[in-house]
Amino acid sequence: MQELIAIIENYVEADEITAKTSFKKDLGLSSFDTVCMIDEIKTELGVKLEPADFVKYKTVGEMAEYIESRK
Amino acid sequence: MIQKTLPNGETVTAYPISIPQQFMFACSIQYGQDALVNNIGSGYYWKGEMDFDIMKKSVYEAIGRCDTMRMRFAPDETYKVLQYITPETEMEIETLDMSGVSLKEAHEKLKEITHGPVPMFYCELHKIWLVKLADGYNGLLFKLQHLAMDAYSTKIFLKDIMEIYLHYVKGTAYPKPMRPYVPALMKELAYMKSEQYEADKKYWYDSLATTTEPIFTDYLLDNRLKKQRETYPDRRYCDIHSGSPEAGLEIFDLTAEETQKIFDMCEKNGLSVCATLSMALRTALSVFNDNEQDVSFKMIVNRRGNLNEKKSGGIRINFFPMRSIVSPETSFKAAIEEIEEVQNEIYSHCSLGFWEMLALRHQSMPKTALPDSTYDSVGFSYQPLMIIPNLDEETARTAKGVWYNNGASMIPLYITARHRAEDGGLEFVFEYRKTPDPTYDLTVFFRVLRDALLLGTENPEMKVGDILDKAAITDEERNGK
Repeated sequence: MQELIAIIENYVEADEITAKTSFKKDLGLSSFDTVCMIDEIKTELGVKLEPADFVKYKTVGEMAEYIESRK
Repeated sequence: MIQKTLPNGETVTAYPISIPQQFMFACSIQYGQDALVNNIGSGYYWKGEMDFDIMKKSVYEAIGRCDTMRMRFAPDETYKVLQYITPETEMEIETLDMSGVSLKEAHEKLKEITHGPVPMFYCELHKIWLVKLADGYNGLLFKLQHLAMDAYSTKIFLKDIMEIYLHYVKGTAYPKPMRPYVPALMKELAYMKSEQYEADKKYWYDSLATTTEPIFTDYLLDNRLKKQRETYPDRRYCDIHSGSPEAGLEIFDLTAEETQKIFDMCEKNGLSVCATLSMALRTALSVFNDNEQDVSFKMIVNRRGNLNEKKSGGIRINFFPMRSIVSPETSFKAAIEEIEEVQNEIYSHCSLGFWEMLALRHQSMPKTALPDSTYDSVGFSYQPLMIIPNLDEETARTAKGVWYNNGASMIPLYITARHRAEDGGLEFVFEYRKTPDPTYDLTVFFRVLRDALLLGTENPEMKVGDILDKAAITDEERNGK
């Protein structure tokens, strides 16, 4: 999860990002942010996500678990 | 990096201009300095006190933090235009006292001020004023050079000014640093030799040159393609560009409540707000064109993903054709999902230069097409809500961002959906070329767009065909011109 948070911190300035932090509600990530982050997650973590994954896995924690399951 | 000697003998480190800057520079050449295509005029005002000395100090600090507010240009034999950043600004920040005239008169005068020619070489590009208005309003006026800033970077710069100001007057946190411009620029300049460039060219060639020919859809009730088809019956593109870029501005509003319903619907259904607004726009174009299923418009992409891109100033906008073919049997929600897929593909390939895009587009057009023949009557961009933190209630409630349009539009109709500062409600800014006069048509166009958007928001499973019927142009509207 820390690796995912490090990537997210390249896109938003949030005081604190935790497992419960929501991509849309708390971080306000746009569609463009999501597409760029998908690229960076693929490069850094070796997992190819789809934009729809950010709808299904709404929080940082949920997404981190999903990324881990795909490794 | 180039070592450039300035007329005063000083040597600076200079850089070629980026693709979006080249586009703006070409527009300057095409339309001339007097056409104002390079002017960004905007203001931000609120009802309440402003400590003018602290605000001036805050503006200077913000300029010191934003490299492209200290950008200058130099002509060059090899590169045509070079850009460099000066360590200090020479801008004099003056105060304009308009408290003696009505707000309406003041805004007319302020707009005139932003219409002065923006300078180009070897000098300060931008100008900022502190403004005192009637009825207890105070604020800031910006006249910026579009080659160095765009709407997004202007908003971030304004946010930085306000956060610095509030730090000094209220003791709130000093804002986090802005990001340097040169690394972001170097990445842009390296793009032309990158694998991504090759991938983007291939994507757009495959999208444009190998698919069926799109069809022009008009926002005018007197459809220009229909008119041209009287002479050229098989034509699908349209020649709509008049010689003059002279433009007007109309703003249409949704209420804060309507806006919240749209956001709630998007949140509940996992939909992109931008794709939802695009769906409303393409539905309106469909209605205006006999329920045409194949609709295209120009999507303006901001190209600011990571913080280095978001907080380094500059201009990063680019234009792309956004085509969707939606069956009337599709639900509003499913259609948005289709548009979102196209949108995300565009986002993945959005660095290709506008001129190169145009060339790829023209490769697939009939041989009779002119250089500015088009399938797109409209350009569209969405500017998400930007919140300035720590404003007191009165300031937040009365704050207003004002766009003083420069009176020149590079495309016939440019629709910007953005949020009002005072209540977050959506406003649709229509910047339109005056010839032919579209003002009546635009009121009908927005009525249709709004109806489509609110119908789909109320019931996302409603079929697109039903929305087209319910939002249809009435006989009264068609005959009312």
